[in-house]
Amino acid sequence: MIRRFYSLQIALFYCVNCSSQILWSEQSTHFDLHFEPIALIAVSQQEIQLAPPVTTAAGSPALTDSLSTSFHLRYTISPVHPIARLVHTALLPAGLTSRWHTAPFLPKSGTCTLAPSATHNGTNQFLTAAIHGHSGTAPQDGIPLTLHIALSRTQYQYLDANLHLLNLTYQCL
Amino acid sequence: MLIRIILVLLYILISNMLMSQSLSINYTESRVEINSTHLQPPQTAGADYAASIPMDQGAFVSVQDVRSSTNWCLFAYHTEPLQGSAALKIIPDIASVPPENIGVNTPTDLLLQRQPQPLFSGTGPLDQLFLSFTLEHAHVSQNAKTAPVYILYQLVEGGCPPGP
Repeated sequence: MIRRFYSLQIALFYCVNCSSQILWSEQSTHFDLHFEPIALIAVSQQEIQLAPPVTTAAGSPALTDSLSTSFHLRYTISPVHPIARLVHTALLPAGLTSRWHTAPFLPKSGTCTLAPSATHNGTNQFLTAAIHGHSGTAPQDGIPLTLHIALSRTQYQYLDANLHLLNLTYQCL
Repeated sequence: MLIRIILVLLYILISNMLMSQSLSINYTESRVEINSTHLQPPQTAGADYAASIPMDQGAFVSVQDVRSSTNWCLFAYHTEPLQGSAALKIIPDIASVPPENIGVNTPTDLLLQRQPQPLFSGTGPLDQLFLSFTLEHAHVSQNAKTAPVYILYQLVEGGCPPGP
């Protein structure tokens, strides 16, 4: 009986002292990792020449013409909230109505996308979402933009070259 | 005789309990910021975060109440993963402690995972081991706002297991 106790004692001794995986101590820690919002304010404001040009001399007025163009934006960095939206504003010549949309857009680098095709909302603006990855002042390659401008026959007849210029501005909300 | 055995057992238990090893981790910053300067290239339109970002964060590790010849291993893991595919790497600065305090199988760095991984193999008491941190594989589209980083450190008797 006593010999068994000694054996148990020795076993217990080795169990307590000779194990290589005894957890001595642990400490739970934490710190905050803050990602500053990275978005952009696109301050480009330019008049663009639509291509192909719409001319009144063609003699075959179309009620709806499809025009496409692209343009360059220059960005300035600004800390905005991460779910910032990009507002496209197109100022059409007075008297014209339009409907327009953009194609999904992916820059050469980064993760910025314009929203899927958007339709003009009747107030010369439409919104994009999921603006990420743009900062700095480097110019971004052109954003493909397709405009569908609906012209009435009367409007078309009075159209002149100066009306081909659209004023587009982009800004981040 | 029975009383003697009980006393021996008590001695063994108490002697181990009296040597209560202590572990201390102190961060240099409570909040770390990642911003547009960490883009690659920095401040550039369309750029994403650099694949590896050295963080303005450090930590000092102290291990006390350990016999001078005793080997131990410091493990670390995080209890909650970072957003997206981002990960945190810890780099122990072995130059910050005397060579006699460095045990065998000390890793050069540790990519934090959900399971404890060896971070530093030590011998005896240790004071002010410096740890530096890098943020790996962060993406602008996945990482936003403020995320708490929870890291659990474990001090285990015995040296670290050999690395892969």
